[in-house]
Amino acid sequence: MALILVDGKEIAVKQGETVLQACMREGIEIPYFCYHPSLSIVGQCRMCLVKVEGAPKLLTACTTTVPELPREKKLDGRYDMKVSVACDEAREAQRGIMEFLLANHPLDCPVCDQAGECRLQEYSYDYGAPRSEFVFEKLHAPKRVVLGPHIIYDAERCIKCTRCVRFCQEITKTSELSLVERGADTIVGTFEGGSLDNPYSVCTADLCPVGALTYREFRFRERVWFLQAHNSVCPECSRNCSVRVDSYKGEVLRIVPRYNPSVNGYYMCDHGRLITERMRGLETRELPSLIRDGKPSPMNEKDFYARLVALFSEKKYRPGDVAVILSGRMSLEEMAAYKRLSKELFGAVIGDVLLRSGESDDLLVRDEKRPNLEGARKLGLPVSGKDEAVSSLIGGKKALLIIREDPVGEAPQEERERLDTAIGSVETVVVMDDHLTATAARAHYFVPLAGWFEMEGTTVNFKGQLQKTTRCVAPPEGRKPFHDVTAEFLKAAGKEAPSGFREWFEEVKKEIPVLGLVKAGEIPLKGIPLPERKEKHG
Amino acid sequence: MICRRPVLTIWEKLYLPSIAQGLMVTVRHLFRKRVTVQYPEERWIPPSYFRGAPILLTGLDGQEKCTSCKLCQFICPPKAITIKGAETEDHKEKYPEEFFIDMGLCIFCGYCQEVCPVEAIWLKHQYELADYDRTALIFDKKKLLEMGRMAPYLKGREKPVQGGGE
Repeated sequence: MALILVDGKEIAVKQGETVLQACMREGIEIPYFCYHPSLSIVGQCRMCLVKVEGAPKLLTACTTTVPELPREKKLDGRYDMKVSVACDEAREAQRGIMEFLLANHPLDCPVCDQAGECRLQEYSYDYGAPRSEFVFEKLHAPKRVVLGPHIIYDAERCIKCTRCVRFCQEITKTSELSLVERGADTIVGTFEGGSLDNPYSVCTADLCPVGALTYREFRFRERVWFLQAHNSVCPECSRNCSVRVDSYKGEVLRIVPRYNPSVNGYYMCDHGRLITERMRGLETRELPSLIRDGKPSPMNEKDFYARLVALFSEKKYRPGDVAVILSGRMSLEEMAAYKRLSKELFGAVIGDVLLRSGESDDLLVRDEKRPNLEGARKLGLPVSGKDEAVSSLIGGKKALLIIREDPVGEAPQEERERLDTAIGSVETVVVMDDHLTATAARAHYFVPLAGWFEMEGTTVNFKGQLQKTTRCVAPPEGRKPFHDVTAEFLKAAGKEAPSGFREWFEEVKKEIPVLGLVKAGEIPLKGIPLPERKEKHG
Repeated sequence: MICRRPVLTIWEKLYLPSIAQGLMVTVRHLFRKRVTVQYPEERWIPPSYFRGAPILLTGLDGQEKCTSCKLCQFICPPKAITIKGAETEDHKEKYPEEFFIDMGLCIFCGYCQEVCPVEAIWLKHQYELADYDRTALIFDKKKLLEMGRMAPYLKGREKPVQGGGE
């Protein structure tokens, strides 16, 4: 453990830690572009120049480690290094670097998507010179280069910090990007005919401290200062990456990763970000409806639930007559609500959570393609194995309840027809989902639910990390989370029911006793690790 | 306080001289320069610094100058401006696909003109904005550009094209 003095403040530096890291930890600001905690250190941008006592020149704080001096050599008898960040020399150097970086930087800010979250813009105010002495014409470089399916590159804005290059080399290990050309002509490029199309490519746009790499789907959609940020969780696999959901005027515009060391680190996959694109164009305006010939005919909400309750109480389905398909897309509260509903309607907890699996990789993407399967296991709901389980579940049943799953739409083409007829032959089919799915078109009753980003809920990832999602946008009219739909059901049947996320979270706590002291409003942003599930014997 | 009536002289009590005096004022004004305008037959043309309805300007290439940076939307105190940006093949990369100004909300403060980095939006001569329908007060891009083309004194002319009623 070495001790350094930074502008009069003593900081203990750990073995192998650099001056920049130590200063950041202690809240001393040193400007930097190229340093990133998850990437290797290159000292490329020279922005973090600091004065080190005894060194002949200014040193880059990001590459300077602190050697532990023998006792007699220590400065002032205590310190291993004396650093000055705020001295005139360091400030002058930082101002000079800013001027160099801005010499060829176009005055694009009004059309640049990075404006508002641009490090160059921020540092220009904090460290830059008021005016440039560069009076010549700025260098011109390729603009609007399509680097990959989701990334557009603007070489004029690029400051060559190589964060994106290092990301592709070190994190995804695909090495698509490289610095090409020399000197002032240096740009970031792919190899001949190559394309930046790895499954994490958009992370390069997040890493880019300036507006050189931009996310194509979000490009020019909205200026960032209009966006409202919400902390949520990505529902695309059982990793449950922590995300920040940026919305504006009731529309989710972009999803970016949120740093969470115990779940996803700094990154997330492109597939998760593209939820916004898949959400667009989905039919989400349906009200509670009866389905006739595949077309919904909306009904008054109150009458609708009364009719459903009457149906179930009249027909007196026994647990053996009913098949219930649940989904790992349901939050813990919704699952707890379902258990309550099932006991009321059928006298026992029946139903299977569908296991949907797909491809995985060693970075973040998990093979289980539903966010809350671990939560289902924690609540004791059976998770049934294969995709073909659907038809065996339906076989010989009189009623079918499908919540947040689309077995028809997701079945392979050859199986679709068979499933279609199987579902069509069931006496009563109720489908609840956040949009009008192919399965819903075969149903008799369609109950619209709020989507993942339209409701509050908790979810448990494959490692047992419980995280909370927030209501990022308001759901369309007449749509509620399933736990509130359950409450409607129970009320229509004349029973008491909890209402709202907070009360249903109390229900969840009964099932998962470790949560005992946690309040719904106090779940930390990084989540709560739940202990390992004990396998039941026999 | 007690207000006492002034005691009038005989000359004042005659009354007619005062009427003649009053009429003299009217007659004097008959020969002075007029300050009112016979609206709507005559229309006042405001000076160049007048802040009327915002308009959008067209560049030399025939395209709108606006790059959809949305600074005016951000700065607008009554939030009267709504812009939807989109990508274009042009040099400027970004253009406003939709541009709405709700004239029912606009307070003619001129912040949008001041903040615009490409000088695309100006508050100009147009002051007759009344309508029977509120939805008609929401001006779209086409209308705003049309108003921009009709605006007088755009080429640095400080004086209006026609003389005013002054």
